[in-house]
Amino acid sequence: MEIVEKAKMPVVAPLDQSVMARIRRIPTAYIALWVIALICVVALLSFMGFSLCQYSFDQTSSDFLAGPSGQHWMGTDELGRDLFSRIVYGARLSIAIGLTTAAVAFVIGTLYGALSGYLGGKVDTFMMRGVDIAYSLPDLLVMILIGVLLGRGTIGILIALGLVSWMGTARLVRAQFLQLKNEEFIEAARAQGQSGWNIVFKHLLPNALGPIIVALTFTVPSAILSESTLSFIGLGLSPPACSWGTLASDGWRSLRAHPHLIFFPSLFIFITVLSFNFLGDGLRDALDPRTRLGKKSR
Amino acid sequence: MRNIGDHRFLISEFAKRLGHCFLAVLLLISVLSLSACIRPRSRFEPGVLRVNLGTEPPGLDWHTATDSTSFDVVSNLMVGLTQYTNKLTCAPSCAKNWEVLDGGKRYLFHLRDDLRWTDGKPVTAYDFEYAWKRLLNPVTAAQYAFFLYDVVGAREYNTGKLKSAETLGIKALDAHTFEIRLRKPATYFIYLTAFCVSFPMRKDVVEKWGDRWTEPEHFVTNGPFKLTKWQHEYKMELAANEGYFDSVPQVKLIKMFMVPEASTAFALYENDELDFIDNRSFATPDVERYRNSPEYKNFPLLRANYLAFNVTKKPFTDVRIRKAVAMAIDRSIFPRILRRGERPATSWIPPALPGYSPDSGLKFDPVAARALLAEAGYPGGKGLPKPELLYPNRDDVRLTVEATQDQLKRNLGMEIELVNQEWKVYLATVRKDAPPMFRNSWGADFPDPETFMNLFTKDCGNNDTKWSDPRYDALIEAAQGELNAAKRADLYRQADVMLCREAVPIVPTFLATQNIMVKPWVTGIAINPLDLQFFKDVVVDDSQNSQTKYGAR
Repeated sequence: MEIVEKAKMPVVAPLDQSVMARIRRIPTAYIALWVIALICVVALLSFMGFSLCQYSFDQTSSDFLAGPSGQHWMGTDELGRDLFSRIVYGARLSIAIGLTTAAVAFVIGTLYGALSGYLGGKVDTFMMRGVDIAYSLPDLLVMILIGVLLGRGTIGILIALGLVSWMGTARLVRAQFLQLKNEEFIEAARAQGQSGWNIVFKHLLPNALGPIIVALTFTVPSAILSESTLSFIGLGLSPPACSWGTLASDGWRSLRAHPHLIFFPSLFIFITVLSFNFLGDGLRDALDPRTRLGKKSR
Repeated sequence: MRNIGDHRFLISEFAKRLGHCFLAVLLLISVLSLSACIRPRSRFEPGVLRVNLGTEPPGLDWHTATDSTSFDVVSNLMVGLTQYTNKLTCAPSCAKNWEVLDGGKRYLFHLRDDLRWTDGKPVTAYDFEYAWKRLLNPVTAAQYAFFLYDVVGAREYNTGKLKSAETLGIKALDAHTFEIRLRKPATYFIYLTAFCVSFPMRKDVVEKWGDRWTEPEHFVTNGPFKLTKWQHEYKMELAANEGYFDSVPQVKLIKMFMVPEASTAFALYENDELDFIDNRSFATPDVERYRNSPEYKNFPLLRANYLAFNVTKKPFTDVRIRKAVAMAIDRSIFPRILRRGERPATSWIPPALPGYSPDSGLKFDPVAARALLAEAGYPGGKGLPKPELLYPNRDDVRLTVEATQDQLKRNLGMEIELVNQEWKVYLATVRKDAPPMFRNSWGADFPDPETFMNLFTKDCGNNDTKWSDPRYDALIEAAQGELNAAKRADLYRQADVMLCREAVPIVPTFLATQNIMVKPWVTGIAINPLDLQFFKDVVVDDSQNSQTKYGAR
C-alpha cells in the first residue's frame, strides 16, 4: 500500500502556485511576466476606451513628422498623428493576435498531436500526412484564401493566423508523446489501470509541456509580424486602424530621415518578443516535472 | 592528465596561427590597395549615362505598351513625324514639313529623304502607313488605338465594323508623302504625331520575328539611340545611333538599370552608381535632405490625381452627396503631407492648358458641404452607409486617402472604409465593377485639354465612373472640331464646369510633380510636364569643372 502511494506521488503533482514561485526565482522570466502583464493591461484599457494620452490614434494635426518631444513623446507620423497613441492603440491588436494565435496553435496543435502520438500506428500515419499537407500549403496563400472567405477585419486575421500556425505544435507534441509513452512512469500508470484520458492529460502532457511552451513563445512574435504582411496586401486592417506590424512596415521606409517612425514600433515588438522568450524559458524550467521535486539542477 | 608543457605548446601554436592570420590579412590589404592604385574608381564614365527604370518594361512594342516605363525607353529609340520641343510644341522630325488642308480635315506630311533605320534602310511613308494601320488593326488589340479615332474609318475598323483597311484615311502617296484624312478637324491632331504610338514600324521586321521583334538582335529603330543589350530584369543598354539624321547624341551609352526598390536605387545614386534618378527612385524623406542641393529639381507635371465615384452605387447616386464630398476636402493638405510641391486642384483641366478656370470646380467649403448633406437626408452624416474607397497600395497614395478619410470624417461626419489592392488587381476591379469611391490619376498624353476631358465621355474605355451625359459628350465633340482657339477653350471650360461643379462624378485633388536628382557632371536632361524623358541632348562630361571638383578619387 505504501509503495503504491509513493509511486503515485511524483507524477500527479498539480500545476499549483509552485510554478509562480519558481518563476519568481528566475529574474528574467519574472520581469518578462510583468512587462507582458503591463502591455496587456495597457492594451485592455485602450480596448475599453481608456486612453493613456491626450491624443486619439486617428487625430491628425498640422505637426507633421515631428520628432519625439514633451508634447508628442514618440513624435508624429506623416499625417501629424501622435505615434505614442498609435502604438498604444496598435498594442491591442498585436497582443490579441499574438496571444490568440498562440492559443489556437496550443489547443489545436496539442489535441491533434496528442491524439496522433498517443494512438500511434495507422491513425498516427494518417493524421501526420494531414499535417504534411497542411504544412505544404504556402501560409500566405491560405491566409489570403481565408481572408477572402471571411472578409477584411480582425476576426479574419485571427482565424487565418491561427490556422497556419498549429502544425508545428502538433508535430512537436506528437514527437514528445511518442518518446514519453514508452517511459516507465507511463507503464506504471497503465499498470494502475488509469484511463487514457488521465494518462494523456495528467502524465504525458505535463512532461511534454516544456518544449510546447517554448515553441509557443515563438509563435507570438511571428504572428505579430505576419499580420503586417496581411495588412500590406490589403487583407488585414483598414486604415486608420493600426497595429505594431503596420506601424513598423509603414515606418521603415523613412528609416534614414525620420527614424522615430520605425524605432518605437520596433522597440515595442522587440520588448514583447523578448519578454515572451524569457517567459517561455522560465516556464520551461518551472513546468518541467523532472525538476519539480528535486533541487533545480543548474 | 595535462601538464604545464602542453599548455605552453598550445600557446605557442596559437601565437603561430595568429601570426599566419596576421600575415594573410596584411597581404590581402596590400593587394587590395595595390589594385585600387592601378585602377582608381571614377565617380562616372564620360559619355555614359546611368539611369534607373525601376522595373522591366512590360514590352517595347509601342502599339501594345501602355505604361510610362516602356515609353521612356521607346521615346529615346524612336522618332515620329514630329517631336516635342522643350516647350511642348511640335517641331519637324521625320516630317520636314506638313500641310493642313480642307479646313483641317486633311494632313499631308512631307518626309525628309535622309532618314535611315538602324539597319541602313530608308524610312518611308509606307512604314508609317503600315504602323498606323497595325495600331488600328483589331488583331493587334492595342489599348491606345482610340488615339487615332479621329482618322476616317479608324473607329469602325478598330471595332470590327469595317473589315478592310483599304478605305481608312491613312495613305502613303509615295515614299516621302504621307496623307491623313480626318472625320472632322481636330486641332490637337498634330500632337498625336509626336507620341510613341504613332511612330513608324518596319513591316518586314515585325512579320519576320513576331513577338520577339523588340529583342536587341532583331530590333530596328530610327531614333537617336539604338538598343544594344537587354538583360531582362537587370539592365538595358542604349548606344548612340551614328546613323541618326539629326545631331548624333553626345552620350555614347545609356545604361538603364531596373532597380525596383526605391531606397536601393537612392543608395546607388548616393554612391555614384547612378547619374540620374526621378520619383520612382526615392521616398520623399530621402530626397528631402537634398532639397537645397543643386542636384535636386522639382517641376510640375500634367498629371492630375482625383477621387472618383461610381455614380450607380449608393450613396453617391445622389449628386448632393458627391458635391458635399467635393466641398469637404481641403486640398491644401496634400502638398503638406506629400511634400513634393504638389499643386491643389479643384478643376479637371490643369492651369497650364486652355479652358482652365480657377472657378470651374467646387471650392473647400465645409459649411456648405454639411448643409448639402443635411439636405440629402443625412444631417451630420447620420444614417450614411459606410462607403468603400479603393486605392492601389502605394505609400504616397495611402497617405492621401488617409488624409481624405480624416477630412470627410471631420468636416462631414462621413465615415469611409479604405480598401487597398495591388496595382493590377486594382485596375481590373475598377474596370469591372468599381466600388463607390476610388482614387485614380491621369497623366496627359499630349499638352491639350482633350487628353483630360475625353476621359469622361460615354465611349471612353477609361471612364469607370459609369457617369455619362450627352450634353457633356456634345461639348467635347464640339471642342474637338473647333478651330477658333478662344471658342474651343470656352467649350472645354463649360465641360469642366459640368464635370467638377454640376455633375461631380469626380473630385480633382491635386496635380503631381516630378522630382529628379542629377549628378553635377550631367547636363542637358530635358524635363517636361508630360514626363517624357529624352536623353538625346545629355552630356556626361569630365572636361570642365567636373574633373577638378568631382574627378577620380
